[in-house]
Amino acid sequence: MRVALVSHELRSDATLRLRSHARGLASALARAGLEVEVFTLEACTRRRLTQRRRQVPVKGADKALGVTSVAVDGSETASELAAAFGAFLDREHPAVCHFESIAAFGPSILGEARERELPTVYCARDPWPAHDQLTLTLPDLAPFELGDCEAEARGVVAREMCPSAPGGGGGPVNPGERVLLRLLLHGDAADLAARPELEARISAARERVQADRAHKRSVLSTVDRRFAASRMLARQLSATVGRAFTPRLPGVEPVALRPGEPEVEGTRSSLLFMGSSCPLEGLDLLLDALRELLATPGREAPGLRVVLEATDPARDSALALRAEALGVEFECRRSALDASRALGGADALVFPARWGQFAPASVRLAQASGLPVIAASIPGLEEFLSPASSILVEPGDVGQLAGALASLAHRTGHLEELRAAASQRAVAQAGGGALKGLDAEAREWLQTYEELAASRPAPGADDGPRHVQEFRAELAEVGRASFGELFGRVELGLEQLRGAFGLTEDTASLMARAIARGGPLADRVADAGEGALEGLPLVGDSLEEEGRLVPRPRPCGLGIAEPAEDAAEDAAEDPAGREQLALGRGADPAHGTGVQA
Amino acid sequence: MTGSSLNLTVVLPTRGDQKRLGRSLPRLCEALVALRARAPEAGEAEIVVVDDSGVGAAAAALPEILATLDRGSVEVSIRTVCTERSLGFGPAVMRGARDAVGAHLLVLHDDVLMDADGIAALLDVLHAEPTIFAAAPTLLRPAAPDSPPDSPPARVPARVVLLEDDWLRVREDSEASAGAASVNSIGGQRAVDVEVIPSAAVLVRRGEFLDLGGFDRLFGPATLEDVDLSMCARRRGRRLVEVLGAEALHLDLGDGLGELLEAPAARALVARNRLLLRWKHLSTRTDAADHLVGLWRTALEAGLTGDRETLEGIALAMDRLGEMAESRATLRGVAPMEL
Repeated sequence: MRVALVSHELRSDATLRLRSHARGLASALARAGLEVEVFTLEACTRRRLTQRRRQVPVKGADKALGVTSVAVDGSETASELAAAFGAFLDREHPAVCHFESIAAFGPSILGEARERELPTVYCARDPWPAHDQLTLTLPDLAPFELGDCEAEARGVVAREMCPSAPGGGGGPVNPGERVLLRLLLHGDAADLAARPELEARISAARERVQADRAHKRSVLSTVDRRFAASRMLARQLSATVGRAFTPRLPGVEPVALRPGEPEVEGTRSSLLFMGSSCPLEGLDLLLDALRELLATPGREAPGLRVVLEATDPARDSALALRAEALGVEFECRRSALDASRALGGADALVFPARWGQFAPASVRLAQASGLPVIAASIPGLEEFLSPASSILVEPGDVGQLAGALASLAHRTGHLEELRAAASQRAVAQAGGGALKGLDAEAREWLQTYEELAASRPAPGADDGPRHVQEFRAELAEVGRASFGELFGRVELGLEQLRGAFGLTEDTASLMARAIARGGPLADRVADAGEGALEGLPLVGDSLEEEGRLVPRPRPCGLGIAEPAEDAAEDAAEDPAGREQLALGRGADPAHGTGVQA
Repeated sequence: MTGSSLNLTVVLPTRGDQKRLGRSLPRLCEALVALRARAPEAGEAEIVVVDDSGVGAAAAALPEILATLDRGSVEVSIRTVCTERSLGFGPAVMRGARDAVGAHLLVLHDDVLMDADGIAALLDVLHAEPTIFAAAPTLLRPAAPDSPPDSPPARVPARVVLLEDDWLRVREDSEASAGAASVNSIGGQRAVDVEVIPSAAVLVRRGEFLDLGGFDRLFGPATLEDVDLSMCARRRGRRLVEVLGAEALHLDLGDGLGELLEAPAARALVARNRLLLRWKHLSTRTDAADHLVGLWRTALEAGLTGDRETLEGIALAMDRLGEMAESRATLRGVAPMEL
């Protein structure tokens, strides 16, 4: 069965996968025997809205993942993205569409699958069905409850009118805007009545927010099965959107802890923050707490290591400076992070998020690996933590956080109890509930897909006289092939024909003549020859290994070239440079297509 | 009629639709009776109804239809042969042709009406000119429903086979449509040479038709089998003519590709059959190489642009390479293929 997995955040190069669950899930689905075609977005390095398909081999799976990414520069409309998705569906012919994070696509993308009468599944990993502001926070980082349209509308107007406010949240640089921001976000009816122009803008924004929610509600009602990544999210979305969402907790792969390093009781502990510098995740609060602890005579602080996925360079740098001043080991990488190494040397994870967290990967990874967690007591986190193996503090309370850090400063007493409980839970609950593995989650999805597919008879299979039915069956069989398989069949047939006609001219020569005839193919070759990046291939000529990119193969002479930047990166990753043509038979990365020009 | 033979079998493949047969069969019987009355010495005629419903629908419908025939028409020999399952138009015609006894075959769709004059004209032409493989009437279609009352039927244009960007295309013959084709007198009838005979109504010699392979089942379930037959005949230097004095009204009651298949499936079938037709009739290695160059370009561009429909059409044709090679082996003047 072929499944289209749709997510705007597919981080193929991130082993931690903190921002996207889709990458790990896609591999697990492939291991479960499914053909997985991922549809995602990537920043433009080629012509806008062009699609590129890559093959990503998966260990333990017979078939590679197909990953189609659409080049975007932020100017795309929802209808353009929906049309791109429609073209993807027409090309890949999935049996089921599974939508994950789709905020960047917009709700119209769901309609494309329904138009083609495909079974659909949506799993909410954020509050997108109810809000465009996925973190449920106002521009000043104040939280609002899921379903609060008024707060979202005020936030929208505040972002429009206070451009000096930082994107990740916080107070505006411009003092005048600070006053305005406070009025917009927290002013009562009387305050706003005195500023009718603001009231009108908020009213208009409220109407837009409500209209957007109604549209989402409408398209979500056409989705066959709706799930949410946490019980809390499922409950709140069901209540707010008015459509039933079923909890389906994400799977997680535990990592091996403390490899080879013996524990010494009583020594200074080592705590870990793993995430991003986004203010919502509270790294600044953690550094504040540590500073407070270090500044208080008689109190001892644990060692702290920070492992960041790079997000905002200026913010990352500022936090790095603060961290280093406090003696914190700080690591911030744009490329793959090693979760095993990060978690492996830690005694506990600290995740003092302010708000807006829904089944965060770092917390689930830590608990599944048997590591205690210090976290803020916000609904999206509590669900995944056991009381015996975690310490909860009030969100945003630096004093409480400092106290919790101090209580775990040494590998004694409390920390050892937490570690024992975490370890016991990781063993006892391994593979189930909140600690279930990705393969267990994939099996749950497989069952859902099979139920949906079984409920739909093949269209038109019994229509018409027998000879027409036979043709329909032939057509259906061709229709089930993936796009790559289809091209492979054509390629094989062309070779057969060449042999059958007794031609001595080899395939490379025939293809060269095909290009020389002109038309779009020749134009593409000419463009590539001049270094132009226009018209990159749709059918992938690239190959990735799990976790890292390797050089993308390119068929010599066909002009199916990579963007210069990508090619340079690839060469740096693997100077050996494996050349391979993945057109058609990319599922077997060890062998090309046999069509070597 | 001038010396024609009535040694004729009309092959009428049908899926047993009573509405269609109920209109065409009585008219056909009347025509054959009239034909025999004009030339009683010319031989017998029969009708072979090929029941291609697979469930005996035509056999079940016939008694009611035959009950409506006038006294003269009941004398016409009507036989029914049933296909074991629904085979489609081409194979059903072939089944009827093998079962026929007449020296001439008149193949008619079951929604085509022809009168005695038309049939006689076709027979005259075929009888007079041995180089002609097939004689077809001028096909007419009823005027469109939105036409003024009493509008005459519209002429169905003749067709030509063209090679456009290395793809075979069947197009309306603009020369014939403009009346610019040269008219010959054959057997006392006015006739023009055509490239493609219509499968809806055509007269052939049975022996030659079978020898040539008839309608090739390679193209099943529908479309281009008549173009293939025309090309096979022309490869042998045989002529195809439209007899201007013979007319057949094609009621067009809905058995076309559009009725059999939804649009995307119909397009896939046409694409498949156009390739099979091209491959079957490729004669020289130079043509074959040129064709493969064009096909590589088409396939690569489809691969690069995500044009799945084009690739599906090609893949469907590739799936029939073996049958195509067998079919090609029956042609004269082409190299056999080894697959």
